[in-house]
Amino acid sequence: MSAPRTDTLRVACLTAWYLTSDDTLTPHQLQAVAPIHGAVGRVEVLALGPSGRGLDLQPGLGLRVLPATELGLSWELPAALTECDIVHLLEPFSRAGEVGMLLAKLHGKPVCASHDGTIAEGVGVALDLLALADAVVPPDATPQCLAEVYERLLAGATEAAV
Amino acid sequence: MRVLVLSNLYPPDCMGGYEMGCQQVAGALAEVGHDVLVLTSVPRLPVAVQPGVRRALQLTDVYTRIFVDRQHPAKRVLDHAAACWVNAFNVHALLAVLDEFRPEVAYVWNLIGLGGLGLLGCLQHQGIAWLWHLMDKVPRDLCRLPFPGAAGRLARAAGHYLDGEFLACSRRILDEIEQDAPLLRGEFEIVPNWIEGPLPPPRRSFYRGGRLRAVSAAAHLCAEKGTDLILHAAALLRGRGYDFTLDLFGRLDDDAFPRLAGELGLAECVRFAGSLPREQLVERYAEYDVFVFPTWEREPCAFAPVEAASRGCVPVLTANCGNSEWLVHGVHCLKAERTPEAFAAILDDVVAGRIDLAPLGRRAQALVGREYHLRAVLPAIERALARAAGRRKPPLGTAAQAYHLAVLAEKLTQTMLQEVLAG
Repeated sequence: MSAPRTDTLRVACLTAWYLTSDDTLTPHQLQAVAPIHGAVGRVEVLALGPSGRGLDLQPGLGLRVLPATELGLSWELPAALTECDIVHLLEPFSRAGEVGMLLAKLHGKPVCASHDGTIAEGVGVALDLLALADAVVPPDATPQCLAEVYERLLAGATEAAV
Repeated sequence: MRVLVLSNLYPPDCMGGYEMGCQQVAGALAEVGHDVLVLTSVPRLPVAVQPGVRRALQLTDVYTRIFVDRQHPAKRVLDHAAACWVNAFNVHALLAVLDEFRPEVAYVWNLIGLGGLGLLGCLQHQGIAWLWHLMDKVPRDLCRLPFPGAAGRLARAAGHYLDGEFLACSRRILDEIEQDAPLLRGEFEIVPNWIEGPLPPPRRSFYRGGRLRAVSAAAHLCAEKGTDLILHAAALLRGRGYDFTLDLFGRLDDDAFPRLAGELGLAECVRFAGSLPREQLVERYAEYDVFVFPTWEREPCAFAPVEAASRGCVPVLTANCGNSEWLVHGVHCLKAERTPEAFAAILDDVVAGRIDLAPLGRRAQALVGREYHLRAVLPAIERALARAAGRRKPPLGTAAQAYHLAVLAEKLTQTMLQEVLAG
């Protein structure tokens, strides 16, 4: 079994969470990103808020709040996705998830989406958004499982870039 | 090189110099041995089938005033998105052509009307390198949001993705494109707009007093090209008792300018001469002394003054328009501030003999024939295409995924716009 690429891999974990000016992540939200943080060394959680800010939550786990528009998106999302190796969509059928998928694939980033199989509705569902993901994992995927998935995605991306 | 040319319109279906320039270069590249395929829109009116031209794209017409002015505002917003952002139908058509033609480089022209950002995104997704020939602020227009107060936001976002090579017809147009946000990533080079076709012998006869023969031309006579300004300058000259004729070539939207000419008492000396095929118009310039062009300052670089100069007809230009970057005042042309008074003053100097047009006309004709002929400009274009082709990258995904992304982008933009419109 492969070991997680803890030191070098950077994952942008895109959520649709809206945090007010003083908010940090709730225990429930921290729990949702914990497996990802357990899988790799550097995770940046992307959320929306009234203004842009960033803070370190734990070693290797950062929170970046992007200034939101009224459509539940941020003009800073394209820039926020440029620096990572992999984009993980925590809520792929949210508006942020749908747009995040588009932007990530235009950047050529591998995309991993968490999905519990719930039938939802929206543009992403109607257009089979998950077919564009490079991997779909359950929300309770273990760090070990995610590490393997990420490594496979990264190997695929490296292969495509050669 | 296998070159795929992408343009919203292609002659004979065209609006002005941008598409004609595209056709001239595509023809010249084919003549020197490149394998050229043009992908453009289905014509707005029937045209004959042309070899090497595929009219398969859907044009969302955001140009024709008579249609745009009558649109419901909501339809106009949605059409803007289809014209500038993404049209999945066109991405599908482009992917089919990429599969069949397998270009080494895409040579991009005006993409407004085609869902231009989507086409560029598709090229990049498929690893096709591109060279964008900029004769207008098309990248900026493609990134315009149809709402107030959002200037530069989409441009700043799109700037993270648009990675190619650029040719521009003037420094001014590059500055204008990047006015709100950095948008153009990659190398760019400035090349002049050109003339094409055989050159006449050096002109021998120039203005030596008497009746001054002035001309101006544009595909579409309008305020932006300075048509009203020319008429007011002409009225000032007329008031001073000068003897001149002024012929104006180009399409008119209505009778506003002829009416203005009448009101200014210019009926005897000003003639609205209609549109002529470009080849015929270029030859006609030899019959005129000056080409009067008080165009708007943001003029990227019009073809007509260059063509007039090639016949020894001296351009009289707005001092800071794009054309003025390529011609020197008092050497190849005359430049004036964009007012009727300033243009009348220059023409006054000519008629009064204080400016001799002969050396200007001779030098302008020589310069244009030597440096601004398409055969002189083409090597720079070929080098830029080769440079761009060298930037080819592995595809980011399959053609099916590229189309899937285009559909997602189209539906998301249309859905979000309708949400905004619904308040």
